[in-house]
Amino acid sequence: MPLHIDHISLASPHIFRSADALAKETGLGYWTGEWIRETSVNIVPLGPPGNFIEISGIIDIHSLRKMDERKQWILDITATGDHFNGLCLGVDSIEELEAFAKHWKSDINRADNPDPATHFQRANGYILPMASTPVTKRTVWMKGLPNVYYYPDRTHHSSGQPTHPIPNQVRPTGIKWVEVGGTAQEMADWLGGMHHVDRLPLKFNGKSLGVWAVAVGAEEHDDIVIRRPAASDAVPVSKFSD
Amino acid sequence: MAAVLDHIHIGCANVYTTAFDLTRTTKIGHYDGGFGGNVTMGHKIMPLGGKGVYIEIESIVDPFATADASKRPWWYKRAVAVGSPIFSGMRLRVNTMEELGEIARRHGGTVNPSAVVRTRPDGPEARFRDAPYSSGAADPWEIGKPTWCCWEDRLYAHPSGQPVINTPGLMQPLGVVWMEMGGNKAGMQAWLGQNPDDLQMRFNGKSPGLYAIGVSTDVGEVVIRRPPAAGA
Repeated sequence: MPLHIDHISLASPHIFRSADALAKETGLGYWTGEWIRETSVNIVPLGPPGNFIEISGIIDIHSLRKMDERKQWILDITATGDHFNGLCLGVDSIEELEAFAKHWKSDINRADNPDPATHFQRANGYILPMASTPVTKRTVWMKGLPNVYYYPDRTHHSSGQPTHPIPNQVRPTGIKWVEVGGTAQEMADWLGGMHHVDRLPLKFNGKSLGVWAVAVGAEEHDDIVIRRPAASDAVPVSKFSD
Repeated sequence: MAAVLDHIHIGCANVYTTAFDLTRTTKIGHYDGGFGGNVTMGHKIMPLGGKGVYIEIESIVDPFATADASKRPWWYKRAVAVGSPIFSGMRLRVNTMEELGEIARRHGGTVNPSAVVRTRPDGPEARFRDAPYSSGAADPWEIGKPTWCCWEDRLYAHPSGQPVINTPGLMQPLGVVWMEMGGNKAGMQAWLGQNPDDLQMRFNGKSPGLYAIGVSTDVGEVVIRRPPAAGA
């Protein structure tokens, strides 16, 4: 499968409450996802061919005694509630990932880094092998831009795990479209060509960069539209232009 | 009817790492308990088998609700201060609100007018009432004393009976077979109004609180030891 949307990150001040609220709002179930150090995610599978929303936030406030730019960004974009803070694209081969890394003159975050502290981990100890690019001093999410992932083994991909059963649960059938800020040309400039943009179900609203809404198909149900402000609405991407 | 052990509370700074480390070292599974009624707490639950006993692991998961440090629970501050998850306290279970009210009166208080409410990940709320409560008084746990609870809905979906996350190498817990307490038996008996032997309590003579528990499993006994609520 060529370049596609893999997942979308929704930053939250309280991932337990946000997952519960989103489930009640949409009927989409979630499962208790993964954590790395002070950050954890709850996962909302969106159906085939393998999409999900990760509701992410800081779950160890003691860690905030030592602040860094990323933590401060998370706090700043969640102080007024949930904000979409990442568009995560995917490819199905390491060669495709390397091509994006080359385009960005960057490296790859390796899936086989032996240090477990560098990986998100599940409650049963499982670490989903995951590689990504670009590697930058700060995540490109802070600039409202997508990064790209490759999973050497998709059998335990986050989109395919069972959710907590919830009342009136709907069965999602995949992402229909994602509304993002900026223009198609800006996205093409970032990804390296309009042919990449043409493959993605994106709608451009001309606002500040980042994700503003996600539409999800569902069996025997109208499309579900999840609308939240983009992180750039809370913290302008110009703050990270250096 | 004598009260029985319902749950043991572990307060900590990171509910994820605490639950994971406890499962890794004991091979007893846990699951996601959802979040507390005051919306600042995340829960993980470790069923211990026996007659409906579990460990409740709890921490602050909302950076904003407790930005004012004075709003952070005493057990959170203690866990951070000692640099370790702590045994914050334990609740004993009675079957009726009448029994709970009687216990509250014996301690010069009432049943807490606010139910303890937790929103489970699958949506419904789990609720119990606890005692003794006295407006403005310190939490008995803080001075190492157990409290009591009574569950609504006849223990329907009690936390001790829910499935744990499928994890390689888990053993089957079969109940708490002893608890190491500070203080002495006479003092505990006076607080409980029942023989501490009923609860398999042992006493080490140190400052009050829970120091360790022994859990029977299908492959032998597991000991879980953590700093107690009160400073030694």
